[in-house]
Amino acid sequence: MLWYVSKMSLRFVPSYVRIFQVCHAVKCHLNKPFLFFLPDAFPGWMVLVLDGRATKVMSSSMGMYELMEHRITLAEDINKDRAPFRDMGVAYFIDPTESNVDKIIADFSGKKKKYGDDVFIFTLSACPDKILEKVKACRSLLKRIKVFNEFNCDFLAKESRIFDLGMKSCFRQLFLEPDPHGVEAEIAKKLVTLCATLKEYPIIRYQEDSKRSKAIATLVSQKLNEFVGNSPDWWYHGMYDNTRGRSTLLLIDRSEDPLSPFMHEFTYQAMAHDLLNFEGNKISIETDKGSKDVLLNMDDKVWLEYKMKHVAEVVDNLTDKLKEFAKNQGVESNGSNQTFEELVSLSLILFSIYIYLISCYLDTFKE
Amino acid sequence: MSKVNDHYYIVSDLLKKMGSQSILDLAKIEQAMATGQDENKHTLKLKNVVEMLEEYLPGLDSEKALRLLGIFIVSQSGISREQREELFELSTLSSDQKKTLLNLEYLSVKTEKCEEEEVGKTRGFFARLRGRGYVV
Repeated sequence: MLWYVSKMSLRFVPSYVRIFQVCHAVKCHLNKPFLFFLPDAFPGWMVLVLDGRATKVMSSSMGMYELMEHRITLAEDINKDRAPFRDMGVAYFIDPTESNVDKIIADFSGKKKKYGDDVFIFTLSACPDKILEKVKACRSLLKRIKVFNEFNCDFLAKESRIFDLGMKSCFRQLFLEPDPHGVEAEIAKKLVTLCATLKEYPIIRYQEDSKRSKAIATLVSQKLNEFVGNSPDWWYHGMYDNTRGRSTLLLIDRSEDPLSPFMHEFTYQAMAHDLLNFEGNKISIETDKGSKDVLLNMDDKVWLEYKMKHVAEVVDNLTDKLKEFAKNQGVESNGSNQTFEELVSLSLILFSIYIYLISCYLDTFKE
Repeated sequence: MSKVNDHYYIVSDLLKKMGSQSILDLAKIEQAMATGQDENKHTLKLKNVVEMLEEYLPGLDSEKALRLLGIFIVSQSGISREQREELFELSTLSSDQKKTLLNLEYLSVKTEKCEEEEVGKTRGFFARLRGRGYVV
């Protein structure tokens, strides 16, 4: 039997999701399968199998450490050769494409099954009927499926208020192809998963003179209504309370503002990305102790605080902070007003000074 | 605290690069072209803008030249063919980059224009948007 599990009800949703916070919403959403579906259905450890797209979505807001907390021992790529774990359950997070489903079926057909008897399948976006039929047709897989859920989270949470559909080539297709219907439909599909995750049932507005915006707006509206019709348990902000109304989805294409991408901007984030060499959000810096890599992401509080500020302001603020720190170091014995965090970082710095001194001693010793 | 340290390194690196690539001067021209006004809020003539470009373009690396010319073309909503050839000649743009600028046409930017006009003020983004949205 295939069945849809939906345990999520209003009371489980933390209040902070109410603010439009993509990252938080996605994190809660990504946690949902692990917190609500898996524990009841299956008590043991399991393997997580992802396709490329799902890996990107997952890693945009969840680390391996968090997965371990949810009893996942191993995360594997669906396209690679995977070792069998017959005593463990398996959770698939996939884009509902035919090739992916074929691979899942291959795992459970033949004499030797790859995984144990508990199979959980989560699809990133709405699963087409054709794919469902395919799964139904495979009896050995069907009898093992514990949960089959359209998970609706097909986008990357970049920052607290920024998301990315992960479609780099779509710009070219949208503006150059005479009939980019395929791309438009893809974008609309992903936007619907965004609305579903954020619990928004937006009023859709678009730029009048852009045929792309119009096409996407129409598609989103149509698909969203389809989604709402098919998910009776789903609720949206502004459905029950009047404290906050429905949101607005505003669709604008680049022709509205071709100028901005050319300009040099002086906020810290923009300037850094313009002038320094980033690899994704990793940057390598030269310190006194040699070069090291720094990740500039949501976990870096200093980055979060400064990234939207003017560079000059950042310089002033940072200098003040360092001065203040130096002063605090001077009155170290009077540690009552120092927070624990500061003490920890202080001790770390002292430790690195120790290491440095010891290495100096060793050098002189060798000489 | 170590984070603050890291950012200190990043910012000082950034400042060094900004100095060596004279980003501040560049940004002044960019701002002037985009707003149609110089620092003292005097309206710019097309002639002044072209003079500025002619002064700066020769020594500029191609990526920055691309940006400057892009802003010029967009803010003017098109420049004459002779002027374009002249400016391309001065810059170090590769043929791909020249094509990039001409492809702005696909974003419904006019890239070519015959008569000379004064630098127009580009209207604000939201001002242009107002009253033009449609609700599905």
